[in-house]
Amino acid sequence: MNDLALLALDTAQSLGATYADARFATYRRQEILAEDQRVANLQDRSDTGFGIRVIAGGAWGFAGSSTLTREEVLRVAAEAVAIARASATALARPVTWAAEAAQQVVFRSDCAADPFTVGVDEKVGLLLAINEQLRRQSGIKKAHAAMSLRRTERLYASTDGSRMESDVVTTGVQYQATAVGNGEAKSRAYVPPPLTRGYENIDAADLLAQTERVASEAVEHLAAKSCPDGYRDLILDPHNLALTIHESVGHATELDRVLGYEESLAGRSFATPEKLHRLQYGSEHVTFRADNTLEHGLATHGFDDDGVPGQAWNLVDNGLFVDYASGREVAAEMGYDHSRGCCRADHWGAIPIVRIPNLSLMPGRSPLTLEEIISDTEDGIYIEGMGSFSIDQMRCNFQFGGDAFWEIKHGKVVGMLKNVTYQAMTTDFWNACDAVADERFWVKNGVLNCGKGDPMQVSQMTHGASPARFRNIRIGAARPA
Amino acid sequence: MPAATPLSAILEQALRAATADQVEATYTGNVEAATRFANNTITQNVSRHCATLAVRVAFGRRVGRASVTDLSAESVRECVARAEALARASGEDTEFLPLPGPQSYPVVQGHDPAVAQATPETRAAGIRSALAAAREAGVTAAGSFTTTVSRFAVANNAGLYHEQPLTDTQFVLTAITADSSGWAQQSGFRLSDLDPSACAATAIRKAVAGREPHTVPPGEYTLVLEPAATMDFFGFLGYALDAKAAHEGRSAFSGLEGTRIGVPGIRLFTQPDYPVAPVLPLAEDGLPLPTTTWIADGVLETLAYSRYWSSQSGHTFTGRPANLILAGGDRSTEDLIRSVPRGILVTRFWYIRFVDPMKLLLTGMTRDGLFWIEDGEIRHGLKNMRFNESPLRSLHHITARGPEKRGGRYSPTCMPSLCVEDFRFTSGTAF
Repeated sequence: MNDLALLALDTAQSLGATYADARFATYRRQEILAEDQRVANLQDRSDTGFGIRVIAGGAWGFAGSSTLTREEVLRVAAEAVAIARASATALARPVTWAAEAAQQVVFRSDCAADPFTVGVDEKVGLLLAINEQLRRQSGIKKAHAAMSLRRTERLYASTDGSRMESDVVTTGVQYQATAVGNGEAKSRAYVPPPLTRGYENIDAADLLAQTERVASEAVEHLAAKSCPDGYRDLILDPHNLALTIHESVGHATELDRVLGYEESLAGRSFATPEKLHRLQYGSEHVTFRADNTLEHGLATHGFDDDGVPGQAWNLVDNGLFVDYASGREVAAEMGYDHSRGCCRADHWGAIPIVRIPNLSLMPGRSPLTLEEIISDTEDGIYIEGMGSFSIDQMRCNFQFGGDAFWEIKHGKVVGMLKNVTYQAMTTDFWNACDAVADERFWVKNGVLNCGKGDPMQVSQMTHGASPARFRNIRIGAARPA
Repeated sequence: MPAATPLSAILEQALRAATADQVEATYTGNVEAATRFANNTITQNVSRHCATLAVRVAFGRRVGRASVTDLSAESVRECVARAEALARASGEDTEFLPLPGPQSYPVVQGHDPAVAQATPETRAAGIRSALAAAREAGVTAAGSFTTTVSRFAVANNAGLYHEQPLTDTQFVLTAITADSSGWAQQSGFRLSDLDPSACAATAIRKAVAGREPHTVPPGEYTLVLEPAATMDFFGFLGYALDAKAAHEGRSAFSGLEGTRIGVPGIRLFTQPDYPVAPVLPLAEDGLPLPTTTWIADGVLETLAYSRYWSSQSGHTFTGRPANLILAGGDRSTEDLIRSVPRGILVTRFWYIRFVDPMKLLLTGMTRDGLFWIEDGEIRHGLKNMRFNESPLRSLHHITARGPEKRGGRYSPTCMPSLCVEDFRFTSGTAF
């Protein structure tokens, strides 16, 4: 592929491109889904192709193809340049972007056990065993277990002189038990963190050890009281926080959104440049750290698709809004001298766009346990897991649910609730944070299906957090009329 | 287009390579092009050619699937071998049924050579006209112009074969001022379905009319939903129609088949050869996708039956709602607005998600054009609001229907503007 990559760059330059990069990628995906004792899906996809991105006439062009021949490389390079020349006919100003030194990088994620060489019978057997155990619980009428195994191999070459390769394996597994009765159906899920690790991340012993608890909590969920309407103190577990961080901080601090590039689909952001170093995004307990070098992080890929190595930096520092996630083009527009390396494409046939990095709520600095936070809460709800989620296109008004809801009275968990939702404005919510558990409770959860762009691209990133408390948050507004 | 080799030859190659009891091969070839603009300039411009061969094999009821984008003979053989290895190592898919033989399909006219021949300059020219209008109006425009050309073919070793070409094109534009935004979209399978200048004019008019937005408190309001808002909200009905989930007590539709779930006159249906919203006429296992009326005169006629669930229940096979069409009425959208003493006009919704699937309770936001109606006239723009509402509840509160319009971002849909009473907004936002 190296030869084809160089051919792509040479061809684009010979046709007048002032910059070109070529990405060759192979994606392997194995997806397994078991519904009760049925293997509902078992598939293995292999997808190989290349994309050529150019600047010609001061404008962007991009073309890609799944046909890996010299003739197709020549055709696609010419198509990319022709597309750029069409872009140049409706251009306000020529593309500029932050300079980047030529890089020579080879990155491989940790992978002690190749998930694609582990026997399919073993993987299917594990999911069926999980479902069998879940269905032992009286009241459970449906069990689902799923596994997702991914490998992305990437070769990147640019006319800047960069040559980079990466090989990243991602593994994830989850299951859910559903109780049905009295005209209702309620579930409980178990979702260990997906990570860029090999099959060693699929810990069979832990998965099977949790089934009894998960199934019994699904049954308890069905019989739980409905969410009250009003304001409560909320304690959110790391998994629930992952989605709240993602939506209300991650997307809000993508610099392309802030500068209007995503207006037509994903929207913009309230976190505009004049608020940098002025806006109190959260309380002093709140520091959000971006880190695309995070061990086993879902966005840890060595370098981005702009040819920029992974970095670590704060977006919110002790509550103060201080920085963005960026790529080279939007970094230049802001006057920054370098990119934060967040430009990623989900496919060889897609262009890189700014994606949320691995972005985490940093743990509290003083020793503090979840139990201590609960015992210090008079009237609250402890929420575990991800549920319903929605946020406006400027990332202000959000509403989230969860997977399990535990009522807290006088410092003690007294029972389960159902249909809990919480709604807030982003900065009000993060400023209401008054406690974050320490690093012993910090968990690297993540998102495997972040959609953005037009055409839509799906990306993955890790969001670490420890349990945290938020005072006096609106709950229950979503109850049916 | 990818695949110079006839599609039947590629599929035949896969069928011949298989040793499984049953084998199905599908080819999907797409040329997708998208030109995107923002801040009144083209920002992204892409094209990709992608061809995929997917193979499904079964030994008894042990099923494996594999797919590949390398269509060389060796790769096709390897793909089949991979699917067979998966199937041999798997447990049973107890819902797998023997693959059907040759079928007859509705004739779907959904391919326009002009879309296939569209060039980057075709898209740029449309965008230039829209941007010129935006600059003249003093607004900022963002949007995209996309074209997709697809070839699909399926074959199995029971003798089934079908090939279908389709095209799709969309133009979408958001106009922005300092304190408002307006949105419009056009889509179709013909290039002539698009008029970027007209689309831009609609979005710009909304943005300008929405300046200096007012705030109204959360509460229940009478809404006039433009077609895009109707599709955003009532389109969720299609996600919840699965008969098996309903019969197992896991759906909002449990126990509702044959009962009234909406006001008289409501008709929701799927029709693969619907002239303005054609879709692939194939359902599960390559069976022809039937025309199905889900809701007739406000009564839930049928849920969506998979092949397996149809065989278990004795009910007619329906497949899933590939295109969801809500029949329009005889009034114009302007008539609907004129009929409202106090209410809200909604251009579209955004980020709708399930809150409680058992009640089909949804939450979401309004976006890009929310207006206050008083005494039958649009008075001023409004700041956006969050709703928590169920389409199942709102089906009982539809008082009038306007003309149908095609839309749908990922698959064609066709729905009208509607007047809906007692729609519940629960909070507001900052813009």
